[in-house]
Amino acid sequence: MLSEEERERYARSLSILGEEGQQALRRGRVLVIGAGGVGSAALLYLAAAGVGTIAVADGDRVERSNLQRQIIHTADRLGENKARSAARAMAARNPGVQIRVIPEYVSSQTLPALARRYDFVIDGADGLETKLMISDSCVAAGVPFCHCGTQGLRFQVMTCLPGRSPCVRCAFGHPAGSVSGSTLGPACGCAGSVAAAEAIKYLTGRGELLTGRLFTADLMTMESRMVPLRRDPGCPACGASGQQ
Amino acid sequence: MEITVDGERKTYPRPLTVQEWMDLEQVRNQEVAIIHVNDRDIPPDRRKSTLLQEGDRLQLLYFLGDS
Repeated sequence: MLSEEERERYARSLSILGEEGQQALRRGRVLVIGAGGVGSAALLYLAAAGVGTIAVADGDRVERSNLQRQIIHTADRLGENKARSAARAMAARNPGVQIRVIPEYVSSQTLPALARRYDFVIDGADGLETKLMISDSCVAAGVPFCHCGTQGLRFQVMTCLPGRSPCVRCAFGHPAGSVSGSTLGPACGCAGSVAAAEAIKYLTGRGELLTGRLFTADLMTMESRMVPLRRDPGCPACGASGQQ
Repeated sequence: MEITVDGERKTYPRPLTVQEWMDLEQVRNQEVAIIHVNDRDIPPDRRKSTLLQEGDRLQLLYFLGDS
């Protein structure tokens, strides 16, 4: 049962998700890796939506140059650990959600066990190797996750249900490198918002997830595409020769 | 030869390998570009030997590494 306060707070959501859906969100546990540009938007929307338990992992500290896109942090929190800073913002947004702070970087040694404590993981981290590690770890743990990437005004998002849909390695093969450098805030916001929507859909069983396809868009040209993806039987992470 | 590139139909006067297509279209950052043909990744070492076929569906992707 939702409390009167919850009914008031989530009135606009209830008309879409129903009480059952809202309760599913309250039971939900989501881990967001990285409280950067993508993580900022995802975390704020997850907290606002009433996801019951939200964990945020980040070992970095807030710098002034982050503030143009990492909207969960504020100028008065420069130097603070990003996971702690993000937790403060989420608590202010919605005191009804439980927030777990992991003020460190995750690794291939720590992430599989950590991911198993959650229903859904969002990749808001930087860098090719880290993103592949997150995919591999979630596949190994059997935990659904959303992969996000940004660059400039471009962003792309896909969701993987391990063992059932393509993982990041299936999608990108053996990438020789990534396109990176700098990103404008709106691209991060779009990616993080889509990732939050994926988590909400997964937790409530509503809608169609971005599985078996990669949504990619360029805010500079306003062109977007849905790239179909297939599981790779030879995938070293999730294929027949992989860990699944 | 007619193929679909990023969802749009395109016609080319002769058959092309993946590498020839990339050069013809002046694909940028070729070293990190990812090419899917009919939803399958074509590794860089197979670009010169993979001949595109009539009706193939090609997608050009990049791994976006920022957040």
